[in-house]
Amino acid sequence: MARAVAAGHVTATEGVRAALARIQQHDPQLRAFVEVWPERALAAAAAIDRRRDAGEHLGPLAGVPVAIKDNLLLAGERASAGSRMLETFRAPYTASAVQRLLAADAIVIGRTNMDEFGMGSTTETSAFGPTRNPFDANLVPGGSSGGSAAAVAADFCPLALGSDTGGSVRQPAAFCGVTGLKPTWGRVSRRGLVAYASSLDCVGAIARTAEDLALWLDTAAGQDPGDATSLPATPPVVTQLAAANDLRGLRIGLPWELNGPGLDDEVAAATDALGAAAREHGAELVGVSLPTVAHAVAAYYLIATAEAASNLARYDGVRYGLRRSGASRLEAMTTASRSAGFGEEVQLRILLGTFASSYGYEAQFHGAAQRVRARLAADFAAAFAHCDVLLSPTSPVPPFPLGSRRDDPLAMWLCDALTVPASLAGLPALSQPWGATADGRPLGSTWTAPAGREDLVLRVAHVLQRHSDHHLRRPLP
Amino acid sequence: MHPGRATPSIAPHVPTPPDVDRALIERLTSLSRLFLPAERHEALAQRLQRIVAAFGSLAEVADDAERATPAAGGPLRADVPGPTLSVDEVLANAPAAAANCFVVPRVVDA
Repeated sequence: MARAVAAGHVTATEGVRAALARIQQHDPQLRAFVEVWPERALAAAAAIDRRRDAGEHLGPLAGVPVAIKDNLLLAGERASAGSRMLETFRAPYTASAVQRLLAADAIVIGRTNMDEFGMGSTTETSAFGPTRNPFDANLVPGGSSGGSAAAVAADFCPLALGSDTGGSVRQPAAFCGVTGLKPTWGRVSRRGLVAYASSLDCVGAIARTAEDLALWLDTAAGQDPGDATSLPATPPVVTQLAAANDLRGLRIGLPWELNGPGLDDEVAAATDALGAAAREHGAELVGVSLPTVAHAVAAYYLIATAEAASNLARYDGVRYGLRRSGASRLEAMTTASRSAGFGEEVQLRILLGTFASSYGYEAQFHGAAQRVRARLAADFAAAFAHCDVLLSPTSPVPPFPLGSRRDDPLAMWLCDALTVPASLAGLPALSQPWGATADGRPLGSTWTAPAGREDLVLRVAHVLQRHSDHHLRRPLP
Repeated sequence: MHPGRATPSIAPHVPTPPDVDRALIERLTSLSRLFLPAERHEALAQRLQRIVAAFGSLAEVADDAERATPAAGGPLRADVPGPTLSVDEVLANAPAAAANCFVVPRVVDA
């Protein structure tokens, strides 16, 4: 799209108008967007067209319509993080990740639906109602970046930003048949991302192809004075992909703990097929082990909820967010505001995180989780001594019907078993669509690489996408 | 193991997961500044009890490991003031503001 705009084959305005028309046609059913910004998008497109006509240099994402998750700030626009607490919050500044999109001449078209504060795997915890899966409106799109995944799958836009704390980019990408990248922790600045669990939160992206994600990463990565945890830039990836035709010399590790019992049969078969395709293109498959991974869900939820309990303490009804008026004392007002503003899942996680980090329980719960986290990172390091990347399914189950798992949080959390290990270790991971169930539900598998090696997961997915069409399956006419 | 030293025969002490009772729920809701109607206490206690029981054995797993330490980011920026939001920008999202300040209910008695 950016190349077509730069070459004058299509104007940015035409591209944005087409995106808006498609959103208008399909989004009333899907509800991928919480809000669309047509005037802003058309004005930005007109500006890019004027610059192109004047012969000015355009950025690498010139004219590309992009959606942003509802927890990323764009100055002057609302950002609610899927919560009543922030329903009327208007961003006072722009998130660095969004700023870099704009600097690359992308056009931000709206904000996408998500589970409240990123806490969920289906978008069903959004205060604004769930998004539906473009492949089947009765299915969840995954979450928490379900709106972003659905928007790309429905061809509303070729790129959407998400955030990934424990799988929130990878799992919805798998459920919606698109490609999702969670970079190394710190690779992309989190300034202007509404915090959930700071030692795990990453800004990620969803697109149809790994090549588009490489283009995005090259514009998004790099150090930011506004985020002390951000990492220095690495060499551009997209130019490396042009020469990637096969996978010769690549060793792919299959952790048996992530590819064994407990998986849906069709899920396991799809990942097996992806591994076989990689071998056909020259890769070598080797068995590896991550012995601590069975405890990753427990460790993840204890760490994430403890951090969430701390991060969400800022919503006190004073500086921003919902205030429930009427209380005569400050503490009563804060309690009433938080109780009214947070949904049930968020309240449950705050309470669990408060428990796990409180006096008398910290060592047994949060402290133990931190030790498991260290052990898990050592497991990954040992596995990468024998291979370059790891392969596993993205989710142990295919997309499931809306409402079918809402009443059992623990069962829902266990569905994150395959994505949280890489989150705890801070590793880059990419989910690519591969195969489908007999009734047509999309399936995805995940590549995981050592820290800082996004180039590896992008390369392997790109090579396989050059020789296949799983990622081109489109659910809507 | 040092020659001659006995192998420890006692398993690491793992506390029994606590009972999630009404007193614990009240403590957690108070610490979290959340109000939970009495009719929701029982359902929440059951949910938390299941989770705590499922996660309580974690202490056995890596009792000899160090805790994970936060990953280092890049070099820190210079410790000098940078651009900040204006007072109006800061107050724009406040539920109540007056005279360049946030307005809150009474904090101390007169």
